[in-house]
Amino acid sequence: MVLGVFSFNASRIANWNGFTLDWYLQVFGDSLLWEGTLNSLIIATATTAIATALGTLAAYSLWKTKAPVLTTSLYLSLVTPEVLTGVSLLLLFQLLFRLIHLRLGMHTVILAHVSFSLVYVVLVVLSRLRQFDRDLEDAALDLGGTPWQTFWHVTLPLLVPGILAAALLCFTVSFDDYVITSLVAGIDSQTLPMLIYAMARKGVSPEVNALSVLITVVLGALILAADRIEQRSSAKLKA
Amino acid sequence: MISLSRWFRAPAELVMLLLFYLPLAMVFGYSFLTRGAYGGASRPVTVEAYGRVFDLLYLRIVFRSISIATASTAICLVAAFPLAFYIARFARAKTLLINLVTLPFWTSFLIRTYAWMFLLRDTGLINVVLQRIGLISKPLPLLFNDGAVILGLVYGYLPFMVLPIYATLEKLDPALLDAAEDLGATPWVAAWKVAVPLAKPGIIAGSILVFIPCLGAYLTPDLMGGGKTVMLGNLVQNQFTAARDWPFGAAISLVFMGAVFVVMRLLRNYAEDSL
Amino acid sequence: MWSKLFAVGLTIPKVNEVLELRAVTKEFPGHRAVDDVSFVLERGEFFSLVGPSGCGKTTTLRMVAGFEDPTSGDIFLDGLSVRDVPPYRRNVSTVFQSYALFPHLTVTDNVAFGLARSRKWTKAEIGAKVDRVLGTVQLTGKESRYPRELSGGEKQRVALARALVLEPQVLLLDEPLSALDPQVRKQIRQDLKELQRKVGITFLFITHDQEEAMAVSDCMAVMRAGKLIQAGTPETLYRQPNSAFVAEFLGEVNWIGGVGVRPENLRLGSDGRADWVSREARVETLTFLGNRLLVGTQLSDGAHCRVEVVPSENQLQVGQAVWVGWKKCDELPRFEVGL
Repeated sequence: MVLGVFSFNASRIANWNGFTLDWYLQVFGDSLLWEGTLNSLIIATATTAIATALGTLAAYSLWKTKAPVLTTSLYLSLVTPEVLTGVSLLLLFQLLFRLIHLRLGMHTVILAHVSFSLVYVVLVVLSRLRQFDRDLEDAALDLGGTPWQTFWHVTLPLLVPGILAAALLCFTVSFDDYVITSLVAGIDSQTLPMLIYAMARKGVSPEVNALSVLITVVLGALILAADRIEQRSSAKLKA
Repeated sequence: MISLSRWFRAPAELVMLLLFYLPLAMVFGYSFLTRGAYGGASRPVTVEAYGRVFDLLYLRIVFRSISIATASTAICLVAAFPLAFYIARFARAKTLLINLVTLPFWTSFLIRTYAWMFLLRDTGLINVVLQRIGLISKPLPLLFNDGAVILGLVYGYLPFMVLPIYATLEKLDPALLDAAEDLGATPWVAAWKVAVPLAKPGIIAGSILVFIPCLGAYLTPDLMGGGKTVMLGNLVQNQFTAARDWPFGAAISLVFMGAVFVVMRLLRNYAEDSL
Repeated sequence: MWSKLFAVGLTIPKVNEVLELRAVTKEFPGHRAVDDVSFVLERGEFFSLVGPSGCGKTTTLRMVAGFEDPTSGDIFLDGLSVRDVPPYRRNVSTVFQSYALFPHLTVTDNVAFGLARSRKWTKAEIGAKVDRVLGTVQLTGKESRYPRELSGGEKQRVALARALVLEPQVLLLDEPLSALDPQVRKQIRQDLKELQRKVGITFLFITHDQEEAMAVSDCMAVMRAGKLIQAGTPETLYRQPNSAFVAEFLGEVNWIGGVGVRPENLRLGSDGRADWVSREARVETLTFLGNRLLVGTQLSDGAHCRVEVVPSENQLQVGQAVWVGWKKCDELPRFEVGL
């Protein structure tokens, strides 16, 4: 019980340096940070868009039929340490560099992120699907809907809260990733976590404190908002 | 209906094939090569890299990684079970509490680790407070050691242990525990003899989800251990960047993955298949 | 010429037959859910499939709807085989036990779903059809409600409307009354019967409640362990069961010396007439049920027997000697094979 509250509190960092806002201003003025944030946002958005779409379709397919190859690969990707994933993708990108002169950059990061975040999307959507009333799909088919129409008009609309939850998870995971990103990013595509890491490596600094508070607050607000939306749409969809 | 499913999963399958299996295969391939002159890899093809994995120096790292991971998993388990049990059995606002436990997971892992650094360092919050109160005179070396790494890992992966156990306990029929107490068991005994065995699938699943990432952790030992605690994850990362010995790094990774695979197969008999 | 038609696989439909199951079997790994079942539904009929849980009636229904394929045998709709036709191309609609109303759609959209998918009608035509069928099930005024805002009975009527509006050849109902409160069940049962008569569509009704089936059906079939035991009108099945199973499933039976008699056909006292059979007995138990009295007796040959009488002034006593009699014509027919 205590641990639960504690873990929530420990993630808030107080800025002890005389309660000044100077450091926050410095954070906002740092153009390098802005660039990193922008990169992270772009990567996370692109990853989320791709991974959510692919993952939702895959989850639907897995809900209906068994696919051991896909299931194994997803499960393995969940369990593989990030270092190994990053390293293996680096090797792949090196090969691609030799073949088609593909340089490391944001696109390689996006590809890498899609690879490891797919399983999160599938997990979330699949768990929602497991709670789905199969009769609803049968009813749609019975009334004359083709399998595609059934998916599009019945299953998908009811799955939206789950898809949004999956998208949020995907976004968070992608935005926050350090290990894999650091291995496959190019020189001019620094992400926010990479910058934070570099700063943290040098030791604790007030600037990092300020930055951490900001990020935590923003993410916290996002989560709360997402939760609010989810509750409202879930209530609407109960039969 | 079947063909629709096949179409649907095709893109995901393609992605996993090209961006997961293929890279892994490449790692496999690289592990048999030799370190090139400027890094990278070249022929001759050999298993020399694997031989070096079992060198004493590296075995020490393996041993340390296993012990740290085991300690972290054990602590996670001890901490998570009562928490999950409490929420499943007694709490009224169950969803809210579970969300609170998982909330840290949503905020940046990097930042949370950094927060611990901030708290634990010699001039950090904890030491400052303890010194002000007068409990200690010199700052405690709380950071940059194995203990700090374990703390970081436990904190980071606690939700992974809580959630599976909670999921199993939630499905537990409360009548079972009531029946045990009715037959004369104290609440503690009831919990130990009834809840724990029935929660075994959740415990196994949680342990896997914690142990394996802990074993291959990179960020936590790096930041919380200050580079002094070298675990497997750090070693591999090192080989691919600073040391530029790709075949060796690949070999280590594969040995590690092989071990993980074996362990998981063994535990799969007990664990619930979640996918 | 007829032989050529047979070769093509067309059966000449008897004009009145809308659905035929021919030697349909469904095997699952481990057990045979449906075993060589054949029956025929006539147009406009209210047909029930009854049986205890697990007897295969739901699986049979699903095969007619198209959700399961028969392992062997064939299913004919209006003479044409639908064995390889998927559910969305069969002109058969189902009312599910859980109603399966689409929670994100209004009543109107739910009912219009099938019509909208088929693309055969304009929006105006669909609107008119929906309005008409909602009137038939007496749900006018609830068009823009969502399923979560409706009562159980209302939800069922939406499910009915949704299926009926497509004018199917057969309407399948999967235990539609079991989700309702017991008090409401009898009334809804009657409503369903009247609806069927009004609309004229053939109903295939599945239930495990034999009283329900007998109350509404024109024709019914009893299933057990995958096999179809007997089919016929409710009266035929009740008065002339072909097996002990059917006899006992549809009502109470007293077995007296190898002969079955229903409690309502037994009388206390002897009549001495030629067409009556009497036995000596002793009263064992008396159970007062309000409108009737169940008298448990034991006959001289040891058999036990329950007689239903109207409670009267004559006080029966436990241990009292009585005569138990019945008309010979009320005996259940002897069965060929014990079941």
